[in-house]
Amino acid sequence: MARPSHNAALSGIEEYRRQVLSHPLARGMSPLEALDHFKSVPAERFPCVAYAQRQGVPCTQPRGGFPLFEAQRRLTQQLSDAGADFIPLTVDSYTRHNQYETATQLLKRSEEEGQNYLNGYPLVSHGHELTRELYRGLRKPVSLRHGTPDARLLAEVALASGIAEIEGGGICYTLPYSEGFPLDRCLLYWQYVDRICALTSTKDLPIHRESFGPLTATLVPPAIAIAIEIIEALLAAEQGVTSFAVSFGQTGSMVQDLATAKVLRSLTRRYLVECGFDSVETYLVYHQWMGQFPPQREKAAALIAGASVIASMISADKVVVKTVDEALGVPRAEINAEAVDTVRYVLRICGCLETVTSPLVEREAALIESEVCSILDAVFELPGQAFWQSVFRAFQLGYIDVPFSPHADNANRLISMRDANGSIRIVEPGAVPVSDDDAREERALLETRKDRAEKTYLQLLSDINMMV
Amino acid sequence: MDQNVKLLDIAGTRLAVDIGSTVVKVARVRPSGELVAQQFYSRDFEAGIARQVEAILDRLYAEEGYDDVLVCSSANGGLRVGIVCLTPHFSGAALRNQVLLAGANPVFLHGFDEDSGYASYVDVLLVAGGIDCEDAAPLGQRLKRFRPDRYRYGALVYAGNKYLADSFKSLFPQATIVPNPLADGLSGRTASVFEALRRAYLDDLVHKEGVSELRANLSRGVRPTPEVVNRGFHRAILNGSSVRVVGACVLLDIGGATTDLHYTVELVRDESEEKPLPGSSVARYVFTDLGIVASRDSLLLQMRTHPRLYDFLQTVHRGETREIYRLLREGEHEPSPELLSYGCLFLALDRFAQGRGPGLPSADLSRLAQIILTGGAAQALSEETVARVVELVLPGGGSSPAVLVDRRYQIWVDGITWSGDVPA
Repeated sequence: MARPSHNAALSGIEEYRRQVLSHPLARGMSPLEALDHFKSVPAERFPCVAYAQRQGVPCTQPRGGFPLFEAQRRLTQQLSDAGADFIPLTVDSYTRHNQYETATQLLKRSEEEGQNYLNGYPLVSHGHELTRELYRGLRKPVSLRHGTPDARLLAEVALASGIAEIEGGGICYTLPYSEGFPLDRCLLYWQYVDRICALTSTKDLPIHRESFGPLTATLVPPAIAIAIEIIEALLAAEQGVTSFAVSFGQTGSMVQDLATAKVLRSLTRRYLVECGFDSVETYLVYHQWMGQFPPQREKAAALIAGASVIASMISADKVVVKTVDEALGVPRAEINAEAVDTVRYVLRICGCLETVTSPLVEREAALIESEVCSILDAVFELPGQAFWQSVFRAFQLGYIDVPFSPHADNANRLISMRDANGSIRIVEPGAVPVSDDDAREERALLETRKDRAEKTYLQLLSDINMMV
Repeated sequence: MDQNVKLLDIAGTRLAVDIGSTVVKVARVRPSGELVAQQFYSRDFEAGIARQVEAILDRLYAEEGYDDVLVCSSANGGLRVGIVCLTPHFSGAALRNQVLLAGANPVFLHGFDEDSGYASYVDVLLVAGGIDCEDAAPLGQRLKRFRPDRYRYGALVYAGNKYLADSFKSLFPQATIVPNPLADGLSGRTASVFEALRRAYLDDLVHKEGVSELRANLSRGVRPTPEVVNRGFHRAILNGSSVRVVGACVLLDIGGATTDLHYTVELVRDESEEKPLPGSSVARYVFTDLGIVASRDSLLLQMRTHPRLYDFLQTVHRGETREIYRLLREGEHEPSPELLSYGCLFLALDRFAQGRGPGLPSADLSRLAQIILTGGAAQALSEETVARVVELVLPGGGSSPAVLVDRRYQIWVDGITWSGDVPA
C-alpha cells in the first residue's frame, strides 16, 4: 500500500534535467538562468496573484495558439484587450507528440508562405528567448495548454520563457489524447514536470499547475473526473507543487455541475490535508462545454452564456471560454476576443455572492462523494512502493475507467448514460469499485428517464450529442 | 568492483546464477538487491551443467553460506516459436509480445490463410485468434482448414477463442490448450502464453541440458535469461533500481548468438506499420542473426554489405580505415570481438530505426535519451565509441543519448531479484 508522501519527490533531478536540456532546441538554457529570469517577471504574471485579485468573479481564459510569432503576439494583445484574465498559449500537435523537427520544418514553411501549417504555437521550435519577447510588458498570467504525455522539454522551455502556469498531468494528458504512450512513463515524466515547477517556485510566487478535468469530455461520470483530479493534485504535491487548480468540464446538467464543484473542492482539500500537504493552495477551474458544439452561432452563444452562469453559481476561480465558432474550426482572434467579452458580460450581470445549492444538489453531491471516496480508498489500498505505482495499477485493474478513452491502459468497461435531467449516470461500473448502494442509486436515477432508446449505442449517441 | 573478488560472507544474501552457453555466472546479492560480488566459470561440458552448478553452489555454501539461490539460463538460445493467428495486428501482436517477454524467439508469424507452412523446426507452434465469443464462425472455419503438417514443431499450443478450444482439441488431440490472451476485450494482458512458454522453456532445458539433475527446488525455478533482463530493464525504467534511466531508452544485450533489443515503446514512430502491443510499456525484439560467436558469419555478411560500412569503420577506428574496409569487404579481414560487438550495436540500431525485421516497429531515435549495453559481448566496449556509433545512426536534430555499459551485469541482477509485476 502506498499513500502519497513528501518523500516521493524525484531525487537526482539534476541528472534528468541535464539529459532533457541537452536537446539542441533547448538552446543551452539553464535552470539557474530560468530562475533568474523569473525574478524580472512581474508578479501579476503568476496565477496566485491573479486569483487573489478576482474579487468574487471567476477569471476568464480563452484558448488560442498560432504558429507565427507575430500572429501569436496579436492574439495575445487582442485577448488581453478584451479583458481575458489569463492568456493562453496553445501548443501545436507535433510539439505535443515530441516531433520537434517536423514542427520546426512546418514553422519555417509557415513563415515563408505566411500560412498556418501548424494548429498552435510551436513553443520548443520558437525557443525561450523569442517567447520571452512575446510577453514583454504583459501583466497577466500565461497558461500553457497542450495535451502532451511527455512534456518535459516543453515545460522546461515554458518555464524559461517566464510562463508560470502549466496545464496537464500524467493521467489527464494521456488518457484522452494518446492511444499507446505508456501510462507508467507518463506518470514518471509528469513527476519531472511537477518537480521542476516546484524548483522554479518561490514561497510567495509559486509556479502554478493545473489539471485537465474534462478528460474525454464524453459522458465522464463526475466521480471518475474528481478521483483523477485529486490524484493529480496529490502527485503534484508529492513533488513540491504548492499552487494547483483542479478542474472539470460542464456535464450537461446544472444540478450535477453544482454538485461536482462542491465535492471536487471539498475532497481535494480533504485529501491534501490528510496526506500532509496542507500548504498547497487549490483553485477550481470550470471548462465550458467540451463536447460537440452546435454549429448555429445563436445556439453556441446560448450554450456559452449558460455555462458562464454556472461558473458563477459554483464560484469557480476561473472559467475556460469557448467561442461561437467552436463547431466550425479554430476561431479567429476577433471571435476569441468577442467570446471573452461575452463571458465577462454574463459573469458581471449574473454574479453570485456564494455557491448555489439545493436539496437535489446535496443529494447528488453525497452520491458523488461516496463514489469518489470508494475509488480513492481502493487506489490507496493497492500495492506499490510509490503512490504513482498504485495509480498505474488502478488503471490496469480498471478501478479508474474513463469512458471513450482511446488509451490501451484504460479498461473501457464502464458504461454511462444520461438521466432525465441530463446528469451522467453509471449504468455499468465495470471494475470501478463503487458500492452496491451507490450503484443501485445510479441505476434508480437513470430509471427516471422515460424516453430511452432501445439500443444502447443509439442512446449513447443521443447522450453524446445532447447539445447539438 | 572487481569482477572476480572473493564472494563475501553476508547473512541473508542470495546467489544469482546465470547458466550460459559458455559461461556460468554467479552473483552474490544482498537482501536489498545490492550486488556484492560475482564470479565467472567456464562451462564444464564434461561434468555437465547440473553437476557443475551443484559443485559451485556446494563450495560457495561451504565457504561463505547463502540463504537462497535464483537461477536463469540463456543456454539453448531460447525457444523457437512459430505463430499462426487470425490477424497479425491483433492476435498476432499479442502473441508475439508474450513470446518475446517470455524470453523466447518468434521465428515466424503467419495468418491462417497463408498456407505455405514453414520448413525449419520450431519448438512450439502457437495457434490463436479472436476474442472469447461464441459467434466465431470465421475462426472456426479456418481452424478446420488448418494443416499443422505443413510445419515442423515440438509442441502444438492453442491459445485462441475459448469457445473453439474443444473442437481444436478434437481435431488435434496432441495440442495443449491455454487461455486466450485476448480474453473478451482485446486487452492482451492475460499472461497465459507467457506462462506456457516459460514452462515449455524449462522442460526444454531440462531435456536438452540435463538441468533436471539440479536439486529439485532449483530446477523447477530456472527462468530464461532474456526474460530476466527484460524484468531488470523494466525495473530500471520504473526508477526501481540503481540503474538510472533518464527518458526513452534502448537496452541492447549483445551475446554470442543473438542481440536482444529491449526498448521503451514511446520510441516507436506514430506511422510505423508494426506496433508493440497496445498497453505495453516495454517491448523486446531478438536479432537472431546478430551475435559475435554463433552468429558471427551472418553478422559479418551484413557488415560487409552495409552501405555505410566505411562510415561505421571510421567511427569506430577514427584512423586510417581504407585497408580494413577493403579487406572486410573482400572477406579477408578477421575483425576483433570488439569490432563485431560494435557491429551488432550499429546494425541493431540501424534496423530498429528503419523497422527492418519481421514484426519490428520503426523507431524515431531522435527521441532516444539513453542507451544501455549489457551482455558478455558488450563488456569491452567503450562509452565514447558507443556514443559515436549511436550518433552515426541518429537523425540530426535530437539530443545525444546518455550511454551506459552495464559492466556489473546490474540489469540482470535487478531482474532476477525483482518481485515486482511486469504487465505481459
